[in-house]
Amino acid sequence: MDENMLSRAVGLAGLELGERRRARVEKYMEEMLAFMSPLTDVSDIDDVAAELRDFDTLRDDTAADPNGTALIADGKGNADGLYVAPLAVN
Amino acid sequence: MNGKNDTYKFDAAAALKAAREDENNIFLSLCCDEAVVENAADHGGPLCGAPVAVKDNIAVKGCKMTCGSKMLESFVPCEDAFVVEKMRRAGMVIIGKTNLDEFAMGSSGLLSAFGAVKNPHSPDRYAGGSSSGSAAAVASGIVPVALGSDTGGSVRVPAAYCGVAAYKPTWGAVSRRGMVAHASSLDTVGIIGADAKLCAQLMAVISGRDEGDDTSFDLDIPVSGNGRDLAGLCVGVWTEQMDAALPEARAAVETVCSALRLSGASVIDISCPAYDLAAQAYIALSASEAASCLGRFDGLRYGADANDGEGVEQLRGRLFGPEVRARLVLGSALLGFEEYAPIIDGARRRRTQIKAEMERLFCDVDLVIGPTVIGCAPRIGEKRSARRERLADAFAAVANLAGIPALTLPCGSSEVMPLAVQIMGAHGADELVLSAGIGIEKAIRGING
Repeated sequence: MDENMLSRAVGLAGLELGERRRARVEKYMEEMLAFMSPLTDVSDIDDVAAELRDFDTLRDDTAADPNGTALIADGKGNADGLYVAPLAVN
Repeated sequence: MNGKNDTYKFDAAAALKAAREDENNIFLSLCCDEAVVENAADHGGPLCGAPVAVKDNIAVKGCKMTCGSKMLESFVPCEDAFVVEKMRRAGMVIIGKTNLDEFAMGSSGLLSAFGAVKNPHSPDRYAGGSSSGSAAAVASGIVPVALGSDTGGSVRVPAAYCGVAAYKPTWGAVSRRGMVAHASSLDTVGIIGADAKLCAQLMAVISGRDEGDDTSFDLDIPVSGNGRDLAGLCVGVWTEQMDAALPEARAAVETVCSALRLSGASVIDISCPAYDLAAQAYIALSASEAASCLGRFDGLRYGADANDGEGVEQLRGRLFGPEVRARLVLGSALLGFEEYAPIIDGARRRRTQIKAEMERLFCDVDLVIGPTVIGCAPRIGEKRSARRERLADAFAAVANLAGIPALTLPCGSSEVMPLAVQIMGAHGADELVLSAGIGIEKAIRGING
């Protein structure tokens, strides 16, 4: 984190810091950003991707079958036979 | 007024006297006098007449609420928090407000603007945080139960260091109205008690839906707080946490495993691969939420005194302590800079993975156990690996990321300092965690003679 970014971050946090306090924050930022950097490689989101795929399927089905007839026939409607997907998709 | 239930005898007057004589910097203010103690409502419930201490980030009407910060040094709330209302209605006596790491940020008990809390077992050791005062109040016998808050282990860590029980409920099972937010998606009110039964009884008092907190919901917690038979339970031992703990902490968990097997439970090893990076995800999410939650404190409202010509930024820079300042800058940078968006995105994804893996785990086991903390309370000033400490913070914080209930119980000691184990359950399985915890306490006593 360069000097300019640190100044902007301190400003975003709504703080005005003297030199010593600013140096302490800078050291903390360097340590924590390095510690958290492996998070940038977290991409194996199987469950989220699967959930999104389900929603995508529902959205496609909704476009093709706005009354939800096919989904209800597939057992994807609720117990009263009402089609519940559009709100969930939105 | 003296109160008692089937197991405990409560003496609020003695608690008030002990709180006045406190030498461990536990209390920041007292909320009652002898007249209040005498006139406490006679509700007749199991905690009627019980003295209780309240962490100083939870509102008690007419009592100062500082959050351990100069920012709120003179602030007096005009309403009780929901949980305080419920405790009053149950006939409990609010003795005083307890010290904490500033705005509940920290796990040492050293970060209050009003001085560190001393561990009642040894003054040269961490009391743990952030609910340091509440844990020390119970550990020193001043009160049988206390309220804290738990965003990433803030009742469980100090309870483990001070040798008492503590409970973090399922997120939403207890209203947070009147508790100052640290990181809203992780925050819960927490309970510290002399044992698991007291935690269960206080949970029965404070849990339930509050129209003033839309995230709250009703949960069935039996008031009796009786333990359950452990036979037939399947308990998973969290291998990643065991591998990361110090030998004495592992030994405490193994003692509980022996007690469980003797009681007829089955114990198996379990693994949660997404646990890797849980500590990093917790730091990213809690810091970014804290930057938002603490934005409201401008130093002009809530009673702080501004010097002539001092602006909001100067006041915030002066009145927040070093840990809070650092976390606010970190959180603001994570939220504000495109460069760091992949960190926040990764943290959110990892949290989702952890929740999904925990849900799957609880299809196979009833409970998961592991060490609450890496070892016993560290000596103040002792050189320790900061990275290892940060990674070990996830032992407790993972329950906040997943939103699940978690109970810590004392189990044995090392160098005369208490050790602890943590028991986690599925989302909403609060009754199981608490009743099994009571059963486990009895089983531990059984094998320790």
